Amino acid sequence: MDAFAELFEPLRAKIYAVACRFVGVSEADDVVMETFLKAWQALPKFGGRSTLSTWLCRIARNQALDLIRKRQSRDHREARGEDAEKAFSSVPDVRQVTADETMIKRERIQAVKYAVERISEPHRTAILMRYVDDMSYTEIAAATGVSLGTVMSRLFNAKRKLRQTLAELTNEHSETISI
Amino acid sequence: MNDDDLKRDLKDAYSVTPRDEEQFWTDFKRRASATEQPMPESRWQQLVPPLGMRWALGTVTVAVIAMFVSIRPHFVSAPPVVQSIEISQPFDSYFILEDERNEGTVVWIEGI
Repeated sequence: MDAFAELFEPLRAKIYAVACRFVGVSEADDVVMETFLKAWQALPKFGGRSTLSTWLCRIARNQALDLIRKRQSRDHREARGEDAEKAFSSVPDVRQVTADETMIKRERIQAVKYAVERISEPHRTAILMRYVDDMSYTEIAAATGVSLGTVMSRLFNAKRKLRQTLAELTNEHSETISI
Repeated sequence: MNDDDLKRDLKDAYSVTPRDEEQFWTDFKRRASATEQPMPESRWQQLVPPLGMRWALGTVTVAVIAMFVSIRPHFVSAPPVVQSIEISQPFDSYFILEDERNEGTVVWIEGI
């Protein structure tokens, strides 16, 4: 079991990030634990047809979806909406902007958050997994259950939309200043 | 905003950190010890195809044998052909009748 822990510890942060993107910070830990327990049980049957991280991402996705299904069956739809919102809106609070950070940086982060919240959920998940969680295209495909082509297209569109929103914000900002 | 700037700002805004390593793995070991890890498959189990595949292989084998058996009579039961005939007794005449329907050959000798 120690060997298992040693082997899988480097992947834990990535699996935690996947879990956060699906179920939010509050329940991500449960998903991670269930993922590693499943992996522990299924390891003897792991055929090595994919990398360990891709395999784990797939398990994590299934565990997250299971949790979401259980949530829905408990008829906590409203709570789920709030939690899903927390997954994206409360995450920034983990890295609280400290007082000595510049106003510009704070504004930029707020602008990025504003832009990210305006793209669709699949696009948001793809771009956060790629740029924040440093996941490969294959890992994102495994974690989201879509093809590599879809991942690439989502990333392309998400970036375009983000840039567009940020550009609009910058223009608005400069217009406000010039007034 | 280039890719690096976007990446940096996204990381600043959305990075998440998992809980403490030692605490997590202690919990994991406690829970994993309560669940059984299946034994790894033996070499023999790895070589034997899974049940579904065994059924498929069995079906294909039966189909091939059935096909072979149904075709085979055409090869083995082709009516014999008399290439030559040698009659040691004096005779008047003979003829050879090949009966394809009954898959037989009649050699008729007259005047022995």
